[in-house]
Amino acid sequence: MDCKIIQHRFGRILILVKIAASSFHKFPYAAIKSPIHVSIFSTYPKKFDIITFVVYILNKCSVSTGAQCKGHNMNSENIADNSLQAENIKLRRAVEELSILNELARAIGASHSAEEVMRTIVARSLKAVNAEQGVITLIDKESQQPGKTLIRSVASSSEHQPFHANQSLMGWMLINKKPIIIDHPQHDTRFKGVTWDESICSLVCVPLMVKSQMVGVMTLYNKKQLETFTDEDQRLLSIIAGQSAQVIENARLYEEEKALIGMKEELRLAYDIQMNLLPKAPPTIPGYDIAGMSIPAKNVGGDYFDFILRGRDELAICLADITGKGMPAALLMANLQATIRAQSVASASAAPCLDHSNNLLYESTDSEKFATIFYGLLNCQTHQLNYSNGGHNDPLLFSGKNAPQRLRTGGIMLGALPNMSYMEETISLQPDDLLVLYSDGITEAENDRDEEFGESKLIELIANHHQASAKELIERIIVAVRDFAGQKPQSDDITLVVIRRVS
Amino acid sequence: MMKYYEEEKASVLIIHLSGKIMEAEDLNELCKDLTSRLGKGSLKVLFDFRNVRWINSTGIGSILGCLTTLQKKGGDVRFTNLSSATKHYFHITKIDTVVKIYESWEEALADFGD
Repeated sequence: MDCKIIQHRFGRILILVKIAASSFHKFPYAAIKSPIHVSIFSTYPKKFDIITFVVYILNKCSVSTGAQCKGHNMNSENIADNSLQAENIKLRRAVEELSILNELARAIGASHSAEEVMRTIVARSLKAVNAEQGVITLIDKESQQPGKTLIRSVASSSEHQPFHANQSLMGWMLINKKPIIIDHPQHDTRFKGVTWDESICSLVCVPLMVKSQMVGVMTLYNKKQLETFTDEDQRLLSIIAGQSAQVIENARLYEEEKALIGMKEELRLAYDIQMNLLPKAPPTIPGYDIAGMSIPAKNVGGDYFDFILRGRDELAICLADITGKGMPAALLMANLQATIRAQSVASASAAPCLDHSNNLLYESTDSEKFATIFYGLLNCQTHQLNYSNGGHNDPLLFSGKNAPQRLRTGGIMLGALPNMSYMEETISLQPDDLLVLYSDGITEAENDRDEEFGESKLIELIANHHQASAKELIERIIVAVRDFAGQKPQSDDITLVVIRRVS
Repeated sequence: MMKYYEEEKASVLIIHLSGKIMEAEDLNELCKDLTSRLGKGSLKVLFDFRNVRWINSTGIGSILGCLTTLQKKGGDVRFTNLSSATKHYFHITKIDTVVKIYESWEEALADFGD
């Protein structure tokens, strides 16, 4: 009898036995504690009287010292016992697997967050296959980078630093979408040139699939006692991954929804804060009818208007439009408003206010962030309006039956270029004069045919409702713009200020 | 996305812009490149907008940022072939008061020489 002990690549021990057919029944099966499989590898022709067969043994420890390939008695009863033993092992393993899956299902049911669900799955998987570390890596679908990790959940039973599923492994999984076992990754020809953590000896990686889409992977590193992962480990992890993927996805969606609800609440608060920055009511000034309104395109916006009382007789009027929309524009709007308020107090007239505000805004923002602004100082006793226009749509002054006068004097928009000198002009407001300040959200409102509302429609509308109160006129303009836009949603912030000298 | 190619005529570097100019990143690299060349002496740059299909306020801000950087270091930057919409926007915001704008690059080149 000739006998050779070799290690199978999945960590099992193979005993390759060549034995005379006449002595086949004498092989010492009983001396091997847990053989799970005995198969005849090849049978030579009878005339050579040789049988070669292979005994697979589960692990190194199960080789008994008695299993020496010497002349022991072997009989058919031993063979039957070992076959039964093998079946028992299979059954025991199946029961263990079911128990693991059952425990996992119960643990997941008791978990409250995506992070907790993933930690539970990793921890149970780690225990099930006796590995050192486990990681669940979810894929960010929104990212341009394929396989970018969104969430990592690590459970570790070792002292090692957390391992990371590297981009090459993620790339392989994205292409192949099937489990993989890697022994000695540094030498694996499928991952040539990839740098692995030196302490990774082996790993098994299984995909998390939801509706044929890979939503992530679970990777387990380093089987304990320096063994390598087996097909059984891979099979069990694939079952766990199959059952967990949808649960993880649901938990993630729930987390995303919670985050979205939180963000919406923050936006609502930001809207409240921004609305509180705007004048709650127009100033009451004898001889004047004044109104203002701002409607952001999103929850918050970059347009604003302001009325600042300077002493007893002077009112500063401001309407500005910050580039962009939404939260970034709203943050700049708050900054600009504070700047203008401070400079309004410090500046004797309109131009120096814009000179200083321009430099302050330029210093605190990138040049692609700027604001167009109209700033004027109305003396309610002399009815003189001193103003400077920083690149804003020309306010329209309606006086008598004449075509409106455009208040254009000033300079470039604020914050784009430094050290600009703004021009200013002072005009007189006559009784019944009507001054309309507006943002481009009015004139550039579009309808379904991509036509703009335009300045001429605005002028016509104001001329037709010259006698309406300031508040009524604003409402009429907004209704007209909305009627014009029809089903097309408001794409830009809309802001209006109307000032009428009554007497 | 914005693209561009360069052409040199009568010692003026013409930057032919095309596509959509909507992000600050669109101009960052170009601006860095132009700024680095300023070290070698004065630079006359003409931005040609003929093939620009769309430019938004962010794009305009980025161009102005680039212009400021170049002007600070002695560069001479001018614009040509603006679309009517861009011209209108430049008029409202008064950018046309701080930048030299020409109807054609021939006209711009002639003026650069003066």
